[in-house]
Amino acid sequence: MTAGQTAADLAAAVRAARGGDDEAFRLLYREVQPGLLRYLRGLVGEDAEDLASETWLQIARDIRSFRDEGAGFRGWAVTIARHRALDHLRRNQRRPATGLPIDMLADLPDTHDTAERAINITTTNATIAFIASLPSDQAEAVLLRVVVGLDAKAAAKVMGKRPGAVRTAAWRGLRTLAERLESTPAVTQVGIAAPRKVR
Amino acid sequence: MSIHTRGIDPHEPLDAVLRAASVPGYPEELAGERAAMAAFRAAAPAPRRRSLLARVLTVKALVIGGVTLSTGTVLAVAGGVFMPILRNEPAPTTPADVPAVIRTSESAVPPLTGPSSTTTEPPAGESSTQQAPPSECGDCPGRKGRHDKTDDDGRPGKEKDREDNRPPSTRTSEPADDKTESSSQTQTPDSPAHGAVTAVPPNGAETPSPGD
Repeated sequence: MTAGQTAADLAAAVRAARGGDDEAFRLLYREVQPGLLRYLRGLVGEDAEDLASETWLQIARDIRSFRDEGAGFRGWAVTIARHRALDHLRRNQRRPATGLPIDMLADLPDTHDTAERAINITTTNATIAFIASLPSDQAEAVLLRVVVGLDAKAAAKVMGKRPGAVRTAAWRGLRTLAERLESTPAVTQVGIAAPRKVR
Repeated sequence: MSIHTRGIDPHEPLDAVLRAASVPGYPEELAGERAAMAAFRAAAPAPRRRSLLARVLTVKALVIGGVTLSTGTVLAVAGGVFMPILRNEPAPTTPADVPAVIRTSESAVPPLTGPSSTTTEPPAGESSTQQAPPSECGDCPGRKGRHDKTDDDGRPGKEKDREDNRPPSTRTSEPADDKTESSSQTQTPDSPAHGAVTAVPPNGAETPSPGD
């Protein structure tokens, strides 16, 4: 899980960063950026890195006026990213192009052939793409709960929905993923093998 | 991850996929760290400008406040401190003090002052109790008697002998009146009490004074 630190630790870092502490801001970036980038990747595909950079520019500019409104710093950052992603999608008027089709999971090479890190990155990206293939609400709910690490309340605040609706969407998305994994044995094999290599 | 798969049959592949999606970040995913840090440092000077502006405003406010305070102090000193002194100079006794002085003078002092004061101005003393003008207060019998007493303190004459011959109660009350004029004037609420105390012995004191 990317939420390596507790909310209290992040809150302390946020306070320090608001006071101008560079290292605190660096810590925040390293804690939040991976989940944020994967979430954006699930929403917009290949343009995720550009949007993540824009998101962090806004975070760096506005962190001194940040007020926790229930979702915490992680939820606030994800909300900024979401707004930018929705603007991006409106501009392009198209569904996000997933980085990797689900078939890619079956075609992944064995871990003995390539570098371990490349495998892991590819596996993570393939997994995000796999989640992004769900209906948009379900995919976003799963990404926010699983990838970003928000609880149902914070995820609901980000999505502008009730926590019950987010729980339902996440549950339906996971059930759909399980059904697809059962129908694709090769994907299952990769899905099991790849995370075990990751620490 | 069990919370995410609650209600779903235990599915090991799904758990593996979710673990793969939530692994810690790779260095490649942190490629934008430098740009983010640069943006953070670039955004830092903004509060400094505010603080500088706040400092300037604070200094201005302090200067204005200091000028206002000093001006107010000068005006207060000119109008509130000097003026009462100037007013009090011609009339050191306020009208409120006069009755107390007169009461004490009526009760205790006239017997002490003896015939000099009683013979000269008994009706003036009564009129002064009603009107009590500050200018006339110096001429009132009690005041006159008191002046006589202070004079008596200065010269050991007949009056001094009368003091010594008076009963102890009147003697104890006298120094309180003799200490300062201002003390008897400022002790206006107490002066009737002194008068009451001294009023009893003077009945006895009146007898000694003619006796003497």
